[in-house]
This record gives sequence, C-alpha cells and structure tokens, in this order.
Amino acid sequence: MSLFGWLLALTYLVLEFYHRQRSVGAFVLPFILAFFLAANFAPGDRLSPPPAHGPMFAFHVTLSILAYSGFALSCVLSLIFLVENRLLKNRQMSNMVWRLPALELLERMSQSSVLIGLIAIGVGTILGFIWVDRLTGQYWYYDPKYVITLLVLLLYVAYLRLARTASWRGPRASRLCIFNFVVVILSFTVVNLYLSHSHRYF
Amino acid sequence: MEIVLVGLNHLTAPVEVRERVSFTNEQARRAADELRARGLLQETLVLSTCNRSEVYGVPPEACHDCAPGLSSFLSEFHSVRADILSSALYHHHDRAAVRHLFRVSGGLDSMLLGEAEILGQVREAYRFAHEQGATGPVLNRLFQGALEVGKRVRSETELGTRPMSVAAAGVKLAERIFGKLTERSALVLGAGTISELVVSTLRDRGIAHLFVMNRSRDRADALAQLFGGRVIEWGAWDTALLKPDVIVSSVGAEEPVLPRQVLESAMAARSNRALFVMDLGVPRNIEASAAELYNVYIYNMDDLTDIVQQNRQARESEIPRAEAIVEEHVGKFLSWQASVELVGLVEALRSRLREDRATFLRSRLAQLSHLSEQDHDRIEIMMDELLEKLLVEPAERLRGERELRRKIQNVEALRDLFLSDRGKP
Repeated sequence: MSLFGWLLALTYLVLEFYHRQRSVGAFVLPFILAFFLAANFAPGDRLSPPPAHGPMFAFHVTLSILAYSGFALSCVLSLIFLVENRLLKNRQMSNMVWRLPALELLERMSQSSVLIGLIAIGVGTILGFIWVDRLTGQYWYYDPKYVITLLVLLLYVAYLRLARTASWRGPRASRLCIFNFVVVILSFTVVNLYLSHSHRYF
Repeated sequence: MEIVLVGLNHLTAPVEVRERVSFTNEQARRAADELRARGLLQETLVLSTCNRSEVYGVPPEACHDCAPGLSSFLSEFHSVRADILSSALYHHHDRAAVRHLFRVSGGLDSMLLGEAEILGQVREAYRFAHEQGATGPVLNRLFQGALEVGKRVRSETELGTRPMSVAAAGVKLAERIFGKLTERSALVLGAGTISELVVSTLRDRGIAHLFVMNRSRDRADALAQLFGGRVIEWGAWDTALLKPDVIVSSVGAEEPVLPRQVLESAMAARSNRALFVMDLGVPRNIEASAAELYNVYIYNMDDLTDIVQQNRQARESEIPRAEAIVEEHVGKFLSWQASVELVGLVEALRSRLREDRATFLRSRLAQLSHLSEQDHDRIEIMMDELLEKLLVEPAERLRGERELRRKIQNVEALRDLFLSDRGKP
C-alpha cells in the first residue's frame, strides 16, 4: 500500500519536472499525504499470497500500482481545477485564487498523468496476461477484473480525446476524470474484494 | 564611518525637477568620480530611477556636516538652481539613511507600494558602482543588506503580490486561467485610453498576438501600430472571435455590442476553448447573460474594481510586517558597523598604549640605570602583558554585546575617553 504512496509521489515529481511547474506541489501534497495515511490504516493484513512470484509478476503489480497513482493524481488535479474554476467563474476572489496554479496548467498536468496511467496499465495488463499464461498455460479467464480494467482504459482514452479536442474541455472533462477515478476505486476495492478470482488479496 | 544620503523622490519633488536631477549611467560615474576627487565622499553610490534620485555616500573622516556640500554639488552638477533644489531634497545620515535605503529597496517608499522593480534598480545601481570601485566596505555591506531586505519583504509578506489596478487585475486573472500568456492572443474592442493601458500590460506580460477592432478605423490603426497588432473590420465577429483567448472591451456604446448569441456560436466554432473577457465598458459591452456560457469568464468594471479594493485592504495589513523586517535589518547593519568600528578602535587603542608605554618606560628606566639590558626588556614585556590583559577583556565583552544601543554607546565612550583628546594617531 505504501508502494502506492511512493509511486504517487514519483509520478507527481515526473509531472512537475515535465511541465516545469512547482506551484502545484503545495496543493497536491496534502492529497498524497491523505492517500499515504489511508494506506496505513487500511485493513490489509489478511493478505493471501498469490500463487507464484517472479519478475514478470513484480512488474505487473508495480505497473498496475503506477497506473493507479497516475489516475489518482489526475483526479486530484481535476478536483483542484474544479474548485478554482468555480471561484473564477463566479468571480469570488478569495486570497487563495492568486496562489493557485493556472487552470490550463492543471488540465495539462491531469492529461499527462492520465497518459502515464494508461501506458502503465496497458503494459501492466499485458504482462499480467503473459504471467498467467506462463503459469497456467491459459491466458484468458472470465474475471470481472479484466472487464473493469478494460472499462477504465476506455474511459480514460475517451477523457483524453474529449479533453483535448472536443467541446468537453474544461470543467466537463475534469468531472469525467473524477468519475473515471471513482471507477478505478471500484476496480480496486469492490472487484478485488468480492468479485474477482485471481485478484483477491484480502 | 558615517553614512550620508541626499536625494529627492516622487513625494518631495514634481516630475519636472526629478527629470533634471536624474542620472544616466555615464553621469553617475562622473558624479562618483568628482565627489571623490573633491574629497566630499570616499564611497559613493548613485541611485537614479524615474521616481527618485539619491546619492548615498561615506564621507571622509573630517566631514561633520556634509549635507550642504552635497546639495550644492548636486545643484552644480545638474545646473539646477539651489533654491529650487533645496525644497525638494532630503538629507539623512546614519540610522535614518540606513532605514531609508532599506525601506526603498523593500518597496515601502515606492509609488506603487511593494513593487518589485525598485529592487532590481537598487541591485543594478549597486553592481554598477561596485564595478567602478566607487563603493567601499561600508556601502558594500549596506547595499547587500538592502538587497536582503528587498528579498525578504517580497518573499515573506504579501506586499506587492496583488494587482493594484484594474488593468493589472484583469491581466493577472487571464494568467490564472491560461498560465503564461506568451502564446496567447487578445482581441481589443475599442481603441481608447483604457484599452491602451490594458494592452500595454498584456504586452508586458508577453502576449503573442493582438487584434484590434474599433468603429473608427484610424484609431484602430493607431493602436495596432503602437503595440504591434492587426486590425480587424468592425463587426466581423465570425472571424474575429475564433483565435483570441482574451477579449478586452472598452467601447462607448449604450447597448451591448456583443450579444450572447454571437458569443455562443463563436464558442461552438472554437470547440469551447476557454475565453476570458474583460468588459470595461460602462455601460457593459457584452450581454450580461453571456457569463453563463461554458468556458467563458467575464469580468466587468465593477468586478475588477472590487478585486482591487480587496487587494488594497490586504496590502494595508502587510505594511507593519514589512516595516518590522526593515527595522530588524537596520539593527543588524548598525551592529555590524559598531563591530567594525570596534576593531579599528581596539587597534588604535593598542598602538596608543604602546606608545605611551614606550615613552613612560624610557623616562623611568633612565633613572634605574643599575638594571641590565635584559631587565629593561623584561620590564617592557611585563608592561605589555599587563596592558594586553587590561585591554582584551573589555574588548571581548564589547564585541559580544548583544544590545545594540549599549554597544554603540560603549564604542563611542571608548573613543571619547581614550582616543579623542589627543587627536588621532
């Protein structure tokens, strides 16, 4: 779980570096901290170890968690965007507004973060298939996890397309991004807890 | 080691006088050289901006009241009548001069409180004077302190962070939405003075493209010429609204010139790319209901003046903190000054005591002729040891003195009691 926190921070650093903007950090860090704390207090001690290990598996897990962190970050950024957008749109100038990063910047960072997440989850999932195939000789199982991961993938691809080109850019895209992350959380919690076979960790 | 300051600023002199007393780089160099040549100042620094002209200096030891000398120098140098100048000039020395400089570099003496430009100007003036060798240890330390104060005031207080004019507020808002404006375009509706102001601010912030629309083609051309932009036919909304990210409108008209409908279709045509509108017209140029459109941000004159008002109040509360920073650094500088003086004093005292010791022993030992050469030497050494012992402890105590006022008093006392009555060595 704390791997998540670390990867979250790492992803954020990459974003910061790529976009050359340090001002967002102050706002993102509390969220990162919150995730860290949640990770600490989550009921995670009933781990049942997966059937086998190996580098393939490790990569699959790490990449998947990286994907989660990318999506989480984009959610956070979208939240900040929505808050600031509301303030600006309604002309409610509070002290905070002057210190918040620019709207466009938030949007772009969110998109970059989603991109990182998509690549990570794409590669990670493929690795997962390969690993399962190596293990059992069969790579397809009817596992809800696969379905929901596909859904997440499609949703985020849609987000990227819409946010950049169509008339969904701005607050609508941000709301979509947040919705997507809710689906991601579902994928992580509900599916892992109740519905999946091979992704049962608790 | 006195510090003197002579100068004028926007509070004491009208612009006609300020213009005549300002220094170009060349003039600053000449002035510094002359001041030194004439023995008026041994360290000099000229600070000249559009709102102030000041000469900072350290006079040679002999000068007790240098201000009149400096005033007449200025009057002569710039060929300005002394009586005109005398009502505009202020003189400060020591603590007051230090405090003045620190307030200046902190932006507390500026027309636009907390502005950042003055710090750069102080830095530039210091660098220039330093390169020429016109400054010495005192002014060096003084101006380094000034730069520190300037930095601290700007990073630790909010003085100067918020826009104080409608134009500045508007442009800053645009930056909240778009980030850097360096690849953005603006459309200017109406080519009057208000537009000019906003456009000038936009240009300062690096906006890439400007489009101008005005009913009278001539005025549009003039504005485009002045700021480097393109003129668009009045009323050609279809094309005009496609490219710009910012619209600045200050048209004098009874009815809105830009109806919601037009904006709505424009937004659709530009696939909802964000649009920031500064509607400075009174009455408003853009239909009020257009503010509801998706991704459109409209600020009118009232909104912007409210923001400026808020900022003004916020700024007022920052002033005490800035002044506190200034005071802190004034104290630090004076303490440093006292320490440096102390070192010089102790040295002077030491050599004076040595002289006295030599004279004293010569006469006494002459009467003790039964003593050997060796004994003479030993007695000398013993006296030196005693004097050193007497001297060291008070000097240490003085050096370690925390309370500034006491320190300065003691240094003064030391000088008065032990060194001044027989003249300096």
